[in-house]
Amino acid sequence: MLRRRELLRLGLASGLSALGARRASALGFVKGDPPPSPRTTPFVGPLPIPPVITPVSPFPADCTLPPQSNLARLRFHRVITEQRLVRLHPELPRTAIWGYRDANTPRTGYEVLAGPTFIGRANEPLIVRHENQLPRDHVGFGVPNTTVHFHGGHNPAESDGFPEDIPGFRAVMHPGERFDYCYPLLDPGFSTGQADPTDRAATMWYHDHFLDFTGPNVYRGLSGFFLFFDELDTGDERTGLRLPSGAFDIPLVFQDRRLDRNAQLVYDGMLDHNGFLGDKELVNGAIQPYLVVRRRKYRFRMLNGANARFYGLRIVDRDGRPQPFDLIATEGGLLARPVRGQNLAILTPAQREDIVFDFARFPAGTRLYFENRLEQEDGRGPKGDFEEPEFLERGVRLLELRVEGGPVEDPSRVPDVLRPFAAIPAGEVARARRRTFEFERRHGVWVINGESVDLERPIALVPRNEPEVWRLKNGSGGWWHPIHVHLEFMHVLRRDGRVANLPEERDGLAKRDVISLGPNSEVEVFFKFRDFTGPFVFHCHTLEHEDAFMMARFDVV
Amino acid sequence: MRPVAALVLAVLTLGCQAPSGEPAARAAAGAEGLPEAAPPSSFVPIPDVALVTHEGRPVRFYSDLVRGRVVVVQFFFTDCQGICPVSTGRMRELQAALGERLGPEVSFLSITLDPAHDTPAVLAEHARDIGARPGWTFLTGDLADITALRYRLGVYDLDPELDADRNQHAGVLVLGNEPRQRWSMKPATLSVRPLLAALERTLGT
Repeated sequence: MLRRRELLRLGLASGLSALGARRASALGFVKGDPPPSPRTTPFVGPLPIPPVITPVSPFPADCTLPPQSNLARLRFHRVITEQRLVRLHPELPRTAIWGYRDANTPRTGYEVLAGPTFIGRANEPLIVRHENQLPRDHVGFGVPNTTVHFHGGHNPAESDGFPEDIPGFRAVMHPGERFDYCYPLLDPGFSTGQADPTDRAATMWYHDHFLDFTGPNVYRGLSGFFLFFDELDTGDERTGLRLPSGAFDIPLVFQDRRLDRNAQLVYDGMLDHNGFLGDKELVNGAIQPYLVVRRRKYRFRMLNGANARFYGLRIVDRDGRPQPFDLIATEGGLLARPVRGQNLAILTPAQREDIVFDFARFPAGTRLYFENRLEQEDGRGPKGDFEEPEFLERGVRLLELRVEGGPVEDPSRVPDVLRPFAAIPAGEVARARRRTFEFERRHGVWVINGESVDLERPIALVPRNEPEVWRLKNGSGGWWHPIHVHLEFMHVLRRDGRVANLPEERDGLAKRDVISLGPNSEVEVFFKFRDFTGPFVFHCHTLEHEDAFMMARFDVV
Repeated sequence: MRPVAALVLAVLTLGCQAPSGEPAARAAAGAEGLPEAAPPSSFVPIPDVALVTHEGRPVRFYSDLVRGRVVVVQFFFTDCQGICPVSTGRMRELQAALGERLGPEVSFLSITLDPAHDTPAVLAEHARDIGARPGWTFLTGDLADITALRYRLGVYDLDPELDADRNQHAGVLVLGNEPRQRWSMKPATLSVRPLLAALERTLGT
């Protein structure tokens, strides 16, 4: 039985979908369109969990850590970027993907789409050597040159994964080349004598960032998780805040893909830059998998790793009734206090939210589902606007949760206070340098403040350690744009002139590194770029928009 | 015309050349059972529509102009007072910067959005006026074919009102490397240095 959403995708729902209208108006577009992905039975394969990366022996590195780094705790890792085969669903043949692999794992032993998961700890630096072994003579979408962006990290410009080589500044690895990245994992403000231990992330990720081709490269599989722990969020549910840990702390990356009849990836986002949507829903690289859960609390770290799809995530029972969870973190790390009783998490591409869900109240045999309730037909974003997105009557089920076993001991908890941090002092906001960046579509291309951006020229020179208020304005009609600013978290001050009132955005409660900019709306955010100087970028994280130059360089000076 | 009828008509009338491969089946297996090179990913075909050049030569878009080549594609019209002079000016700068590489290494394809007016003779005069050298081809044809081509190359707007405005489609340069099946899109307002850099990324050098 086809769901309404699938009918919409096929253009068969009552009335004509936007896609159908587009095809009709194009006279002949339809013949070239690939057929839908092969059918697969939902929930027959287990949820893959990407393995945690293991250390390698120290090596002389080509990058430099800041002098404040705690070298006594320095660890080294090696990552291979390569093409490999993975099975996205038990009923499908294997799919050729591009992926990251821990160099300690043999090539044939790594059958996961997502790269290995990094575990970072506060003030314990990492040096990561990436080796590009992608096929030099690759034919098809994607380009085998790569840079690695540590998304959510507070890192030197040389290690941030700038999208392109610019004069005097190397960033790109061609096939056969390597690049060493230095991640100090120091608290922001460390260089000013005002290190802020409350400004720590929780769930981050890393992915390709090569100029013009990030969309196809990430779609081929170049992404992985980076989780962060410290003395509060310890990774051990018997210490610190006692958040669910270990086997009960599960990263979930939500992505969509489209496959041909041989289960190979289909992508036309190199030509069509509106934003690519797939018709298969993947969690951790598997199409509609299942997860067996015990009757206790779990932490789910939800990442929207899709190119252009927005997710409105719910946990529902068999009848579609939403079940409440506690929201504990966004991109900017743990909230000051949990937001309890939530039942919807809207994530734009690249956004993350951590939740805790308690299965203790469900008897063994219960089936629950992560589902996506947002309605989206093209790369413009979900239907509706930021205040009132439109929801599907019945969501698309992404992951089945199978409750098994009897009552179990659960030492974890979600305390009423997580990681409090001070609101930005009014004086800082008052004296902040104000800038406006308006994102518009003109003559079929994206411009920022009316200009096509050139990464050899910064759009702004930002003084280090000075307060900044950026007004991010979406003047592009019916489009949504998730705007990602590298290097520091954004504090949301105002949305459309009003004080931000979303529970996860209220100032003093949360920070983000991707801002959801709804159609014809604007957001004011506060920053202080405290430590690292040099070139960084901000851009739309709908990856096809980014590849169509919806990106700008700013230099911290 | 009702949409369904339009689609059927389109399928009947439009010749499409499919450069898509048979990925998994044809991928050569390496020593570890992994493909040595990337299997040719199934790729959406470039329409092989019939067009006419400014020299009056009938051509097929895919098989005669794109297959085996690196191309810079521009949509424009000779009567355009808006963005077209900017994008044409940029292509002239690119022509100068490429020098002898234009033709043997990179082809320029400028496709009119106004075929009723832009006949081969009008296009030939335009080519002379702007100093286009061999390697830069101006193309006209049936509007429906040109529209299908424009959509497939990603030069369209999801908003039907904007899509109906020809000026909206003339600010983009589409860069293509057909042997590598590698495509990208650049604003024509970009200066020539980053455009050349983008072309080099598309060439893969």
